[in-house]
Amino acid sequence: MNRKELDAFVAHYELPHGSVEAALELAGARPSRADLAAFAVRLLKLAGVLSLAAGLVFFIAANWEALAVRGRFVLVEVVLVLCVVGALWKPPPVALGRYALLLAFIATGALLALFGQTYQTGADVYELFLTWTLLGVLFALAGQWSVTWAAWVLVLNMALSLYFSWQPQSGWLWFLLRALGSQGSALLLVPMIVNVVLWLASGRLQNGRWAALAPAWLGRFALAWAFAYGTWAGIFAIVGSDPDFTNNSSDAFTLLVLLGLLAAIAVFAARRRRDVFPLALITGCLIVLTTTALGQFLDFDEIGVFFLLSLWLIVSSTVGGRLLMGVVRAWRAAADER
Amino acid sequence: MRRALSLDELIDALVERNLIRRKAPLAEPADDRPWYISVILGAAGWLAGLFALAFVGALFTPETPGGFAFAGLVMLGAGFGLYAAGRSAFFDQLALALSIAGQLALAWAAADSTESAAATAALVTLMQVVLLAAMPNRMAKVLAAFFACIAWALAIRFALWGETLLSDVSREVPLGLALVSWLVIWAPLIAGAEALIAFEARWMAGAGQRLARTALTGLLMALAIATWASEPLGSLVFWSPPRETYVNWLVLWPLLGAATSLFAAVCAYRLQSRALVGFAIAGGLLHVMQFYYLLGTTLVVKSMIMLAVGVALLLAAWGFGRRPARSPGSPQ
Repeated sequence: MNRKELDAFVAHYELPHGSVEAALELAGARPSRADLAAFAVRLLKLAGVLSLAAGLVFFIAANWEALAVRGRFVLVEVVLVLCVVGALWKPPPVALGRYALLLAFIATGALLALFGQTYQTGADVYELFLTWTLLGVLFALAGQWSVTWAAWVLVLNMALSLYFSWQPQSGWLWFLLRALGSQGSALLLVPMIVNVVLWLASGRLQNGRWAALAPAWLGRFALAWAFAYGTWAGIFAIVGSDPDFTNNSSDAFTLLVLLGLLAAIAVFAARRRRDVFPLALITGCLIVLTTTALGQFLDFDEIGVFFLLSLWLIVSSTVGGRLLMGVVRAWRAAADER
Repeated sequence: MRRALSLDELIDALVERNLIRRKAPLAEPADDRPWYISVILGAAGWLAGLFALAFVGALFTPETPGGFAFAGLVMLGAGFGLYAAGRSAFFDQLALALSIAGQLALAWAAADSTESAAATAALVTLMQVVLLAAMPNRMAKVLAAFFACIAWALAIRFALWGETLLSDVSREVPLGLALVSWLVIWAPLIAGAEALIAFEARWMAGAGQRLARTALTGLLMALAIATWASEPLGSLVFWSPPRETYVNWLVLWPLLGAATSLFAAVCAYRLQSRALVGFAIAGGLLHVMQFYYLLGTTLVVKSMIMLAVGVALLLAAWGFGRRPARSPGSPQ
């Protein structure tokens, strides 16, 4: 029982203070001292490792002249080697191995940045992140930890964001995507699909022996990125279009593919009946896109446009919220029956 | 962690202990929304509020602070009335939009009449506290508590350090003063959150349950991200290199903010709210990013600080982990 349910329960039964204490205790609504201490230790360790990693990244970014180039490389490489040795000494899923590999993953990025900074390789920044993603996948695999995978997904999406926002005509991602041609908004569907695939993979893992590696939040994290790109693509397609899409058929194509993807995700989520989050993202995406379309194509003066946009947001979010809550309750009831 | 009981199991257990008698079944709570649906509704309501304000501004063209205040009070009053009277999701969304538009209009009026950022933030704090107490809707109360904390932080910081970015505070700020001024802002809020959790069972049994619950949620959200949220532009100063060599220890504020994020995460865990734990951890990362960009000392010094903090945290984890819990299942 969560706090909302407990509040409603306490109010319904008009429980006095002593009985509320008993209810909280019986409901397991308060962690024991041991649970709280274990959580605090996990949090402190994670914060400590991330602070060390941040210290390393800040140090490389500082480009401190008092330390020679060779010294900088040695420093980062020693950290990397120590992390790998630590992980080999206490391999994951032991905590030390996991933290060591998380630090090794971040140190890999620092080493690549140092390389680019020192030798002025001329590579685009996205290539740094993309190379980091490719090299770091080994640490993520070996780490067997959702937190390292979350860091990996974040770095991958930094690379994709940098590439697809600037679309530089260089680097090997450009080489790979050149075959698709520069389709503007349609190109933004590529990172969306990449993240949808990650979400699907995470969902598959949840059923098997690797369930601990792919908790629900990790799949949601990838799916949230997917919808950020999808919404971005949709807005670009709408803003760049005329009302009947006669001048830019690629934008119409983008919207059609996007709607197809949304429908496919909705059908998939509805069949699984496990998580309403994808449906909520679809709702949010559709609210944004329809509002953008109204703002773009409504032929009123500003007073009318402001009024209609406000009204549309209220109506669409109300309808969306009601539908989503209907699904939440239906799936909860079905889960309770099972 | 012990297995959580279902509602029926809890009722059976309390009946067995003669603490309650069976009653008619509990109605399904009206606000059992998952957090992500609340986020969508809240964001849509906010955006609708901005358009509603633009609509009112374009239609009535208020030009004086009095005009803005009048428009704000009318919209806020309408929002309050809809919250109080309406029992439908549509009226709740409409009320949220009107309430947001009203609050923004009142903030505008305050800024226009006082011409002082500190005074405006103080007045907004006061307004949000009143809304927290008065608004008859859970989401409106949580938002009011959250924005009250941010406005409070801004009011004190503008009053102490002027109406500029922290990194642009011209004089050199000593370490002690930077720490004390941060504590002046955040210590009362930390103490407030701790007290609300410590006395949770007491207020859950009283008439102030709804007020305390929403205040606690808003407080924890604020502790998770408000040092960052009350200085968002401080994370975006990378285009402006330092014009002079100075040491401004206000640069430590984001790190202290990261510490309050960790505190908020622990509090959220005590309340068993996974969504708030995730929010607080994300807040901690935002604060570290802010620390990177905020000017005030060199990156080398910042890196040394982060390394020292990392070692200290790992030592604390090691020491804390070695302490035996008093008894395995004993309550905290």
